[in-house]
Amino acid sequence: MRRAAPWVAAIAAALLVPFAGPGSFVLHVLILVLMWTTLGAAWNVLGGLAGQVSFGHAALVGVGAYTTMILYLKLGIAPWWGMLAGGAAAALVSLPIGLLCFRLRGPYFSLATLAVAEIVRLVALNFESLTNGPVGFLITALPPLHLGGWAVNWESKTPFYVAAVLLAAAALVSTDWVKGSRLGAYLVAIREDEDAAEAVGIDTVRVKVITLAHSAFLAGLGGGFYAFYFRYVDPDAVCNIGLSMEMVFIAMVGGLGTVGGPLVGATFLTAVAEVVRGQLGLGHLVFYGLSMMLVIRFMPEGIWGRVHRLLTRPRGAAADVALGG
Amino acid sequence: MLKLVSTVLLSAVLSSPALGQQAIRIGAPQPMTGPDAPFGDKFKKAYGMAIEEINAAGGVNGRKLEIVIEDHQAKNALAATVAEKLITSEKVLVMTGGRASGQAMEIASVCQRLKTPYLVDHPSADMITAKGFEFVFRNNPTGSIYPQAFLDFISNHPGAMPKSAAVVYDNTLFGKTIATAAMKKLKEKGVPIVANEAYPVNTLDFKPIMTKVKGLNPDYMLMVAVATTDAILLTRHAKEMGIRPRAFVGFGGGFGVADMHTQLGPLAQNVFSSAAWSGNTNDPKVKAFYDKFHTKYGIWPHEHEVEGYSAIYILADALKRAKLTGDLEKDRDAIRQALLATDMTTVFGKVKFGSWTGPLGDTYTNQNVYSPEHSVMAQWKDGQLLNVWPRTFAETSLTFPDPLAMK
Repeated sequence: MRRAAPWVAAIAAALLVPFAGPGSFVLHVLILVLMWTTLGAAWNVLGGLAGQVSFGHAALVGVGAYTTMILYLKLGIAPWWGMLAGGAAAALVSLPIGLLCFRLRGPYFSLATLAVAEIVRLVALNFESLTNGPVGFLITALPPLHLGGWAVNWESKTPFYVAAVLLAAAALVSTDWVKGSRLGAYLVAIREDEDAAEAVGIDTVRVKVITLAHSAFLAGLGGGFYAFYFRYVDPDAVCNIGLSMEMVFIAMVGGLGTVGGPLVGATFLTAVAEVVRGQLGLGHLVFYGLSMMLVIRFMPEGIWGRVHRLLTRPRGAAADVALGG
Repeated sequence: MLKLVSTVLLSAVLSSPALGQQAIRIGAPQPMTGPDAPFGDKFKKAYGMAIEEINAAGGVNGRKLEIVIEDHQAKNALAATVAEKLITSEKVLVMTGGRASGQAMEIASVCQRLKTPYLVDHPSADMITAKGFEFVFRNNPTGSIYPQAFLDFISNHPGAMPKSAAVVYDNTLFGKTIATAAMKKLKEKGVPIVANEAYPVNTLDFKPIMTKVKGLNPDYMLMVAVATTDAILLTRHAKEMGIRPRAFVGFGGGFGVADMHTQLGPLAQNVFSSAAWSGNTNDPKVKAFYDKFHTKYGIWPHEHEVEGYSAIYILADALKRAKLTGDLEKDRDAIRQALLATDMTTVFGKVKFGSWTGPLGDTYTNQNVYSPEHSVMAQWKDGQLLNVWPRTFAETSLTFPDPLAMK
């Protein structure tokens, strides 16, 4: 990690929010923002850093969510462990997907991911003995948890908020770490010119498979959190194409390949959209579509990318490098 | 001093009726935008009409009712969000609505946690009232109750017991629930299930399935379709492939729409439709409601409108009996207690909430105990869908066996 201090400060500040006494609805919206940040960041690692556009990330979210549910409801393993297992399961599932799909490039890769997502949805729908089919899984009560003699109150939003902060932090810090590492340099090379990257000796398939596993782990964590927080999972909720698209939108609106982009994108498309929905009633879908078009047309580097560029411009032209930040 | 006291007293006197005027808020998450928006609109109209009538008749103990509809866009996570918002920010006393089962599961979960009563008016997944949620009530029948009228028909109509049955259903929650419930009961009666075929929604070609079914020569052909196109194509392909059972029985909304007749013409003749319950159409009160609704909005009500309209009356009845103090938490529990004592009749039918065991063995909590009566079977006759079973609800006599059946 390049700069640990700002991260520690930001996470600590985020963890203090519940003490400021926000209403439970405000906290709920913040939890949603953080959950979408995690999911957007998961997509961003692969789509933004490595330039591999996936339209099927809902499959990985679904694997995470179902793993968490199955471990808890069938084996009694608490969902906070289930979330981690969900991330691991999604990473594991991503390996064969990566090895198969990364033989394809560009739009062919994107189409292959779409097919994989549909396969996972059909498995969730039809493999009834494992997934309960269309009925899905419902958690009616969460298991008790004691942390240092203090019993966690699952009726309050605070424990979920803390978990969401930690997940989002894991997603953003790991993005930052990859960006600053040798792996990050490989990814940029692949994104800009895959043939050139191979020519200089980068094992592109291996690098992409590792990155997909990283991305899948984060998506699985996010899916596990969805199950843990919303307590009901069915194929429509976690395996649908709309979910894949929202992950893409969040990363794009926030800023492709940037560290903070998913946080900005998630805030914009969750919190701002929620406020607009409340104020305008039926006009919010227009707002959603319009903001998406405007950002893509006038800020292809995303909100975070643009702000970052404006802030760093006076220091020199180097900051103008596309997708900087 | 006296003046001050009298001013205070006067303002107290003046403000108390003002307090009484404060509306009682009912929350209803519905899909107002997105793919399910037409359904959200149906419920909005139904709620609106019921609330207008109740308020025009003096409201609930002098207080007006108000419905707060929030859009969940048919997304589960958003359903949880708006339920939370209605309960914590909008301070509604009680909840209804939901539209689809996935969203209703989230709303039920939130309502149970935040101790707010939730009257389910349409979502049919058995699980919603089978998880022991004491704050969740349901007026409409569960999915597994839908085939009740059909099962009653084969048991009680002379000679109707199937010798064998082929079952073709879509692999949605609704389709599977109905098919499973029907097959379980048929097996209990010793009827062999010769085909058990699931298909994905919006299948374009049923001929491969029907070729297989034809070879099995079933005595009854049972088809479940949520989507209208599936219902039409199932019927068309089954008949075109030459399947000739004694009865074609369709389950699910697809078999109940006018397109069945306009698209299929004579092929729809004598097909049974075991569709959703939308009140006893032979009851003059229900007829009056249908007419009034049609005059007001220009459309005939179906199950959604009947359910939404009835839900508001059930809630109003409970609110009338509950002692409201102004303390949200206490009032919500008082309403829950009042709902437990509900015993009334709406345009949907009789309602009384209780715990009992459903057709698939689920233990229901606060499910309408009269639900098994809320099932009807209709038959397509010269372009009209008319109720034929049970006999008390029949609009015409039924045609059985199908005259086209193989001897």
